[in-house]
Amino acid sequence: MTAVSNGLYIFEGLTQKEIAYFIMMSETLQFNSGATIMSEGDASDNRAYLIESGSVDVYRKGTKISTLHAGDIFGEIALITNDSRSAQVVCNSPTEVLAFSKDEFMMLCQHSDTYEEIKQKILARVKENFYNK
Amino acid sequence: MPEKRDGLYIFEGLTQKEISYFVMMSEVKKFASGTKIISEGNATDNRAYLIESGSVDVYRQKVKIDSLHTGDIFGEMALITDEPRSATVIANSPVEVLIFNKNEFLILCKKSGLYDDIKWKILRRVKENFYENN
Repeated sequence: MTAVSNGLYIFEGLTQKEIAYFIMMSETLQFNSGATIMSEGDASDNRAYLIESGSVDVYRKGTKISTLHAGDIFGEIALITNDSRSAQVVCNSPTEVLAFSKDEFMMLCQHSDTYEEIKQKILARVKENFYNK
Repeated sequence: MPEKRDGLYIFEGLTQKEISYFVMMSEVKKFASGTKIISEGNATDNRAYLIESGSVDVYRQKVKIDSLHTGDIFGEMALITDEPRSATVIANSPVEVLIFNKNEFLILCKKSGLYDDIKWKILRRVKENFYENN
């Protein structure tokens, strides 16, 4: 795991200690290569996943649109909406992720007053990285 | 806290939870603009400083060699050696830092088996960013 991870963009504006607390609260999950972490169309479980090690392939309507690695985040739209999952994510190696929940994320962001900003940033990034592909 | 956190390079190879634990353990300290945080030649207190907000100027033999900003680290040589401070660091705005100490850093790194890796990374980076600025 690299310390400087792209996925942490969702925390911009928060202090190091706030981010650290949130990461400490996250759940560590391990998946085998080939495991499906989320399926397109599934109801959201309102969790985002930060890849600690390994990598995953992202599919939309059966077409692979991206591969994500250690330090990347996926599913983060679930932190700000209740929409169903808009992509399928399948491990292409043994993968370890940290799972963040919406409730804790909202508590953290509202506490620090940066929620609206973070929400707009997530929407912009998801649009850029995902829907445009 | 900003986009780039270059200072966290010292933690590369550790897990997010290990890094987070270490950050949680760190001390938060605020300095007024103009405060001298480190003095060249002083005995080390074995602490490294990660800038949470604000910026500092780095001087060597009274010549300014660098300015550091939010997300940058300084004094990290003190995590791996006991040598006296090799530069003076002065806050050029109100500054908030997280302070890491050598003992906790050693425990963290040795536990994860990465100590030698991290030590070389720090030495290399300090050499690159600092000694070659002279």
